[in-house]
Amino acid sequence: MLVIRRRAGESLTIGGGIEIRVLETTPQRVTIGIVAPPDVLILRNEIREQNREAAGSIRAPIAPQLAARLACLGPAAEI
Amino acid sequence: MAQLATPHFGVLTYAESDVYYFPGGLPAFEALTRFVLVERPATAPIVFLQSIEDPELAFLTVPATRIAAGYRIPETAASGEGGELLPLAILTVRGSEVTANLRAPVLLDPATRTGFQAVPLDSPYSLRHPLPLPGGPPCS
Repeated sequence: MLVIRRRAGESLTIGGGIEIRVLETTPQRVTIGIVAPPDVLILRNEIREQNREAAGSIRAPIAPQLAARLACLGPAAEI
Repeated sequence: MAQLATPHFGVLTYAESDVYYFPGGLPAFEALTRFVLVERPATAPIVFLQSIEDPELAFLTVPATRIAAGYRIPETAASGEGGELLPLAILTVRGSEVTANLRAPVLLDPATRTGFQAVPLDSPYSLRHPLPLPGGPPCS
């Protein structure tokens, strides 16, 4: 993995068309700005990780009882 | 009719017109582009999203509107055709805890038999919305 140190306000470019700007840093989080062509998919990797975990859920021990328990759900809640 | 032997549902018989085509797959499963829905009375309201290319892979999903009243499809998911999209929330089971991904739903277009997973950068919904499952014996 290439490791580059940047400060807030600095940026870097990937592949000629994608610019990554470091907008703000705090001890807890980094705010990143991305400038990219509209056809570039930008994904929070949580969604990939969530899908991987979800893919194994059908083998979970409680999966067979899940439907019966879901059927007991009341009306859809206001969220 | 085609047949698919699966570890979870036995042999599935399906028509080519039953297949949902996911042009980009799903995040982390980009190579899998063909899925069928498996719905059984005994497992309602679960809709299983069964991969044709990987028979071992089936996602557990529930229509998002079944979980959240007035569920709104992510705005970034412009349907183009203007057709009605069916949002399915993918379930994740962790021990006895079950969560639904309302933030990034699978969106199906029954008219064109295509699907994709919406990945909004901002959403009022959670990636891991806890489902308050009642314990005890199944209700009737």
